[in-house]
Amino acid sequence: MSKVTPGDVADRLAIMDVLNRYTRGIDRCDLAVLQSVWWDDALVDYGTGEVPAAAWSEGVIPALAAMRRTQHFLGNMLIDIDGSTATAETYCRAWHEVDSPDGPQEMDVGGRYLDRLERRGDDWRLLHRRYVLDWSRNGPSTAQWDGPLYGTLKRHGQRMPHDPLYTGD
Amino acid sequence: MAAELDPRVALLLDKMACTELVHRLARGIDRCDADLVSAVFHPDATDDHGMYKGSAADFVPWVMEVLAGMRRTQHVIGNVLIEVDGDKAQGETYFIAHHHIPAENGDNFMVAGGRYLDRFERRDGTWKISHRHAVYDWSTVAPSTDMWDRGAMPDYAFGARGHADISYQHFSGA
Repeated sequence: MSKVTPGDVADRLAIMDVLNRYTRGIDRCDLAVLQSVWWDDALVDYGTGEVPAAAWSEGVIPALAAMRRTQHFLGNMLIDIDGSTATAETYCRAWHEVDSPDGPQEMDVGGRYLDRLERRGDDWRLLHRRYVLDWSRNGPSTAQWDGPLYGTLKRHGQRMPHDPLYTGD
Repeated sequence: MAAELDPRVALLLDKMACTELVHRLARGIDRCDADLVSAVFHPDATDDHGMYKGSAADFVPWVMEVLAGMRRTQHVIGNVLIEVDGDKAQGETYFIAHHHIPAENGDNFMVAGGRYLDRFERRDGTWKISHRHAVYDWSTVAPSTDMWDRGAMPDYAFGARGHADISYQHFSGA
């Protein structure tokens, strides 16, 4: 750790931006943002086999859009940088609310992204991602949007292009 | 080398080193890796977890035994505030710790929110933790609703304790 150089700081901040931009693409169902985190030859394996990241991204957006809402909360980021390549482990707590015949259900999933990133030119992007499942919590949704507290808070997260991030409202 | 750095960059490097210690400690705990946990503490470091108060050296076997009574944990780190003062630093780190715990009438899932109040020291150019105090803010506990049949899903990577976890081969470049 004492060997960290100033250049590593810039690299690390750029890598953290890539990791965070992924969750924005996912949670806002914004395919262009999601595609911007991968190199063209990037591969991903979420547990169902290794596939090109671009094709996976095109498939996952409609699947996410079919859910009521999601939030991918990134925590710990351990990033080892070696020149123009980096190896990272990032904790993620992913919350999903989905429709079911029994009413809305919540799925809360704890896991980790095991990533390889590469710098090409000045740009860091993901070259390979594996997802590890650690735990899950599942049950009827307890989300509330009405009542004396929640009912007064009118600005709700949406998907692109309706989220306040895009509308500026 | 440190004397040549812009002080703002030096501050970033110090904060980054301290933050990495916090993340490495969480990784060591969740993987039940005593060596990883030991490596973040100075030899004379101390720890106060409430139910444990003493040296960090004795904390390691104590916490490994506690972890052995659980099926799995995930300590998610959030806000990290680090204040650097020369070769010393203080940190306040928010955590949400998830614990899957066997119980007599089925497994429980316990989630605890709190903060680590850490003291860091740089010795011989290397930052390590000299004291950790765990503060507990809130908790929830309920029967586990985990629905994964891990043995029947061989294509998926599931978290494991120790070197069975695929993060070890990941960081070794495999």
